[in-house]
Amino acid sequence: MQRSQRMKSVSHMTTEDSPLLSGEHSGIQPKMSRRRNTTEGSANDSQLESTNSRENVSIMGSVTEPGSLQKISSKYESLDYDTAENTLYFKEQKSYTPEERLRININRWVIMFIIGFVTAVIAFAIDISILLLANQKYTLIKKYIDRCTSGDCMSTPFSLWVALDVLFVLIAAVLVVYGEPVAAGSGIPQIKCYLNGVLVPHVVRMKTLVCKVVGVVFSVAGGLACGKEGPMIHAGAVVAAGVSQGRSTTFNKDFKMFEYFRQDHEKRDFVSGGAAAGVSAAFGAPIGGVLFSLEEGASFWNQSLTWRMFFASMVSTFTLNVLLSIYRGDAMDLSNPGLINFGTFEGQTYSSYEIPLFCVMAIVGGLLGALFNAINHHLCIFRMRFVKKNWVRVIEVLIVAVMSTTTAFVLIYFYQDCKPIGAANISRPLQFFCEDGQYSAMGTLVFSTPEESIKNLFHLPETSYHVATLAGFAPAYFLLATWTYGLFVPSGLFVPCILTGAAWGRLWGVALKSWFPAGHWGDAGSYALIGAAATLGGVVRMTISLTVILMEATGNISFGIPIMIVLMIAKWVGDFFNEGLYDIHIKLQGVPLLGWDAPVMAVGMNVSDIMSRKLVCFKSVEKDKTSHHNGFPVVDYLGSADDEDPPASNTPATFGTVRGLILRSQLIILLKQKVSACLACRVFIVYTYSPRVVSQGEGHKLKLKDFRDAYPRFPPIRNVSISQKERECYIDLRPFMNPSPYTVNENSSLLRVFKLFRALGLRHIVAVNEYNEVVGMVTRKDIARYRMWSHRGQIGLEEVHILEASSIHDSF
Amino acid sequence: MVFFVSLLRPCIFVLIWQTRTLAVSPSPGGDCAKLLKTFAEVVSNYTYCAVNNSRPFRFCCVCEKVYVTALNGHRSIVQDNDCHNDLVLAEKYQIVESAYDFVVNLWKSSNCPACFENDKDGTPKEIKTEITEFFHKLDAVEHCFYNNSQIHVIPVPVNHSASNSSAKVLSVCDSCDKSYGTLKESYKNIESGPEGYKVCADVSASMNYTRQRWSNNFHCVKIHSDLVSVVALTVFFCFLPIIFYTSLRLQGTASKDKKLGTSLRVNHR
Repeated sequence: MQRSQRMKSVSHMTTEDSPLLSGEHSGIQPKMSRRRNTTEGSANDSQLESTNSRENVSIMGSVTEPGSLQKISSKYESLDYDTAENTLYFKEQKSYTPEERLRININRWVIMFIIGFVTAVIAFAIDISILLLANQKYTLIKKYIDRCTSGDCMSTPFSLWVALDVLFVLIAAVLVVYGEPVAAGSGIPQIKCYLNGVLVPHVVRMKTLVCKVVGVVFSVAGGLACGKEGPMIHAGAVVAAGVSQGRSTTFNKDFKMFEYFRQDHEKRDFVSGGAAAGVSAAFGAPIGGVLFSLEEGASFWNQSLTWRMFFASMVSTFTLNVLLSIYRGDAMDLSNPGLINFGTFEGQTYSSYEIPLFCVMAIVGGLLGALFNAINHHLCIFRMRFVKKNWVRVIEVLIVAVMSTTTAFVLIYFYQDCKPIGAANISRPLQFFCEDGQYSAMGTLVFSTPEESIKNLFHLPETSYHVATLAGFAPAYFLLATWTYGLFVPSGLFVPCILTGAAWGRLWGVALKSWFPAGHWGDAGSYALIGAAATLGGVVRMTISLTVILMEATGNISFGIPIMIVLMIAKWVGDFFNEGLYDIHIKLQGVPLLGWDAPVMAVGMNVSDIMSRKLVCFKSVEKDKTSHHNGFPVVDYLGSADDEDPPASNTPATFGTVRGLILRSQLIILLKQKVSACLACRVFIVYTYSPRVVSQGEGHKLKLKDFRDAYPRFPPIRNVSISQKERECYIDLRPFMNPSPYTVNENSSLLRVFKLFRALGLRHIVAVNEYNEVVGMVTRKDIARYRMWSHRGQIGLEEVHILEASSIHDSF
Repeated sequence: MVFFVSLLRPCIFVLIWQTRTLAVSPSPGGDCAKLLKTFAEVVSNYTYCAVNNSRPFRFCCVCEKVYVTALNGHRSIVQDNDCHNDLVLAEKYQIVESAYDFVVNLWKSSNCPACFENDKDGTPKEIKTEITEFFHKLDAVEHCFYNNSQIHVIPVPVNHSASNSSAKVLSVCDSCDKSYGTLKESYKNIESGPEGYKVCADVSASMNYTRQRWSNNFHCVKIHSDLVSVVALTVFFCFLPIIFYTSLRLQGTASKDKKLGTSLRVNHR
């Protein structure tokens, strides 16, 4: 890609200056903007263009090219994990009685219980719907196939199958494309971003949940190469975000419950619990679920939260277990802990001398994963560039559905691998061109839902699959899976990876046996499991959580060691070439994600190099205005520095001593409440140019609750109408600002700030000089622009661009 | 020396204790011995019956009575408290229980309960009507096979003497097609019953066997692959993505050119 730009001097993109909320510009512009315009107008300046043309072209190219990984979109906002400890906050904290505090703590557990329960119910609904739909579909097609093997009408079931699949997938695609585009894909990247502290728009909304759940039912039942596990995790997270707020903004219904939890900090805790519950329901892996949330959101963690998340996971897997057991007839059987069931691996073991063989498989898996990611990456770039219109997206999905079905049919048609029915216990034997009393082995792979195929590959006896069958199926399904992921349908990645891996793993096991018949080899099913782990590890590059998930899904601890080794090696091999698929998709979207580690090669970079100097500062008592950042330092001006009077461009701008920080959302609420509250109670005070004279404005009736009620959808500033007269009003920010914001000295290193951001879950931090005067502001995007890359054994530091929201493809 | 004695003492005690227990109950009491013997006989009957009826598979229907007696034998041991303690609980290697497990597992793993109308506690009462009907139809098919060919593995009661000409082998497919069809239909009905794929093993085994004879011995399965239309459809479907992506690509580059053109013009100006 564009490694050439790896350490370019800071080249400012236009977007940094354009307000996040475009729209109404008040009369007062941010003070630095005029200065910036002079340097930046160069793009239109012909003289400069001729000298600088090459650089401009390269910048232009990187801006317009939608598939670039070297960019960050400015449309993503961070979550506010830091509680603003303003006067209102303390007032409210003081008002709590001990009983109320106890109730809040108990409510946390109650919410976790509800999250686990609801997630399991959704998982159950998905599972049963897919089961019923797929059963109906396959029974109908089987009827026609059975009739047509002796008649001359094979094209009828073929067309019927294609038509049914297209119909199912059409429903899923329309829901996603026209309903909620963010529901596409597996949802794990979005949840990863959320837990990291970036809000992907619409990701935890009710509408997304509906589109995702209904969509995944139809995309899986429609025979696409995708699974329902990833979407389940997303669903769990949405449930958590919804339940914990005690209301639905989509339906505009407020249950007046859990109002205390209406802030980013609490919501994130619950979302991590919901994601854990989702994993737990998907794989029957409660510990894996907790570890998943830990791995993806580990920067801010505490023990009691972990315990609550584990509770949610357990509730989720147990509820699902009970529901599925009731559905299957034996209410207290409890043998269905998760949606995907690998079956028990009792008696299927491996010997310790086979571990080196597993390592070879891991290398193959890593290579395959890298290939998968590379193909999918290029495909996604293509989609971003050319597949833009909604109806074109739907058509692409339909074409993939047609091709998936065609592949399945052609595979069954041409592979006549027939096995006697007596030997195996399979639920829907498809005879096809086999003799009476036999079934087509290929049919067990492609003529059933992917979950059943996985189970068959893991557990059917040695002789069930001919080598050629597996050799034909594995690459075909691999390509289909690469093609499918990234389409505009909800599609999980786990199942296709597991299925592909199980196929070639089993092939490897069978091949070993035929090459060295004298050796004592483990069961072919064990090789299938290891192959599945290798492929999965090579594609998604997850570590501890994936190990534990697979271990729990197999229910066999002794497979822990080989699975771990395989995942480790597969990750190393894959990382040599590219990144994990989820990371690629996150970067394609330009999400300012902060990685696990600080970019260690960015030594020598200081806060003063990365901070943005164009701030809007407020005095403690301030006029209305609008601007770009989401947090505004509140300062006391020292004499001359005044926002009507921009300082000379050469001298570093200082704004005044830090008094506190106020958030955009808080300001908006303040402005919105003004008509009823302020004018009457004198929060807006006539400007007197001397802060000391201003009366405190004690009469205001705003409480923390008013801020909380607007959460999470604060109205954009343009919806707040401010009359010209009100613009001249002044507002006392002192009760609302956070008087003790995190600040950092402008000479601190980038690494230090990175760690602060990562550990505290910050959204922005104020940079000050030695006199505690504001000199700039560091936001998440300023830090996320510097990141490490590693490719083919080399590592380096790259600086990426921040792009305007409009130039980016709007979904995963 | 003291150490040696102290080691010895428990050994002596164990010896004495063992001889005493052996003396008290060297063998089970009279009733229990009888029960044990009955159970042994019943189980061996059952095993004999099972193996004997494994080909042609009639295990469920034939051995039903033996199975019930075996169950009863075990039940009488369990219900008698003394004997249960003596024969089952006092043993480490519970042969009685293992044998009982074998009896029940074999029965259940063959899906035999699906052949019968069962009691509440799982004791089979009588064969389901659909199963008996199936076997009537199977008989008809076997008759037909026998009458129309010389190949017969299973001795089938013959009504009238068969004439073994090779011409008749060819006609098996035609003449038995109808009865084979009804047999398949009947099997499908059983299969689509409420218990799903749990089909009584007698039925599924004999159906499998008949199917194999039908296809392997008589070669009656005719397959029409309908190759032309399938290939035509496949080729058509494969063209869809090619056309789709190429047209998108072409259109995309065309619109890009246009954009570039306008932007160049603007720049030029």
